[in-house]
Amino acid sequence: MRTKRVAWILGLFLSGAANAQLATDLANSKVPNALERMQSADLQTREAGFDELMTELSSEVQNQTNPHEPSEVYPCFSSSIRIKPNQSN
Amino acid sequence: MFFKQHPDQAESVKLGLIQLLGKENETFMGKSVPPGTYSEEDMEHYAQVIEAVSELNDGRALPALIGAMTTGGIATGGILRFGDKALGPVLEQLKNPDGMVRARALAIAVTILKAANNDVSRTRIKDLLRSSLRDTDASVRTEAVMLIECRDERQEFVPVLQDLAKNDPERFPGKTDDGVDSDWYYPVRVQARRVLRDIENNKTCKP
Repeated sequence: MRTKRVAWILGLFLSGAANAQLATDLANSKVPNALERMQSADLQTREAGFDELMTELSSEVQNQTNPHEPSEVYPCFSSSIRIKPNQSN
Repeated sequence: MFFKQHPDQAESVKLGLIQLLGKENETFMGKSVPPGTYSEEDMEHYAQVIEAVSELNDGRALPALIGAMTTGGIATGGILRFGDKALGPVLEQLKNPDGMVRARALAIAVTILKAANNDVSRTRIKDLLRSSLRDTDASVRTEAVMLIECRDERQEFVPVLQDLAKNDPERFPGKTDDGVDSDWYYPVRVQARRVLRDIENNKTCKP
């Protein structure tokens, strides 16, 4: 199991901590595909889409803000959660 | 900054997550789901989606968060962030046919109203508690009894608590520690007796 910090990722994404380049990167990334998979009628496909979205947002936000994954949960967000290992890794 | 410059990207992510929670509420909270249908990983996924949507702090997420409110603190926390704005939709859930949903809605509504801390909100809390003590579902009555414990005006509820302590009909096979109810366990009566004892002893509540 690896730790994924959904709150941290979304916090940075939605607070505007990422810069303008991020939008272009996201448009060219797997985000649109992940969002489409999240609408699937199949639960496993939705799970994979959500994991992919979080992975993409995480990597894009970190590329644009901080190349190092934080060793602790970002202080603005108190919660951290774990998700299952990414099957594609 | 990001929203202003690229609202379409942020919007698509937000709406995608909100819609996903709506779907997962249907999947995991549906009445026809037998225990053991979903794996631990599936449940973890549901928890993550609830957490993600709670973090959005977007009013459009409120119906989906309310749909998940019986899951626990993360969804509840997301709802409470909206404060008064959430009160109407939460109160609507007191009409929900599911007793667990009504019990949770009662607890959240009381929390929201407590924050207002004025005469109107206090009266409204008392009315909600009184009507919930007569709910057809024992989980709602139990929730109301426990909420009364932490009210300043709990003394006013002593007569109705005494009635519940003696006459509430919900029961299961089993015995309580105090042995009052012979061979049956009456969950509402047990809670009512406990709260009555605490009131009598001026014991402060444990919210």
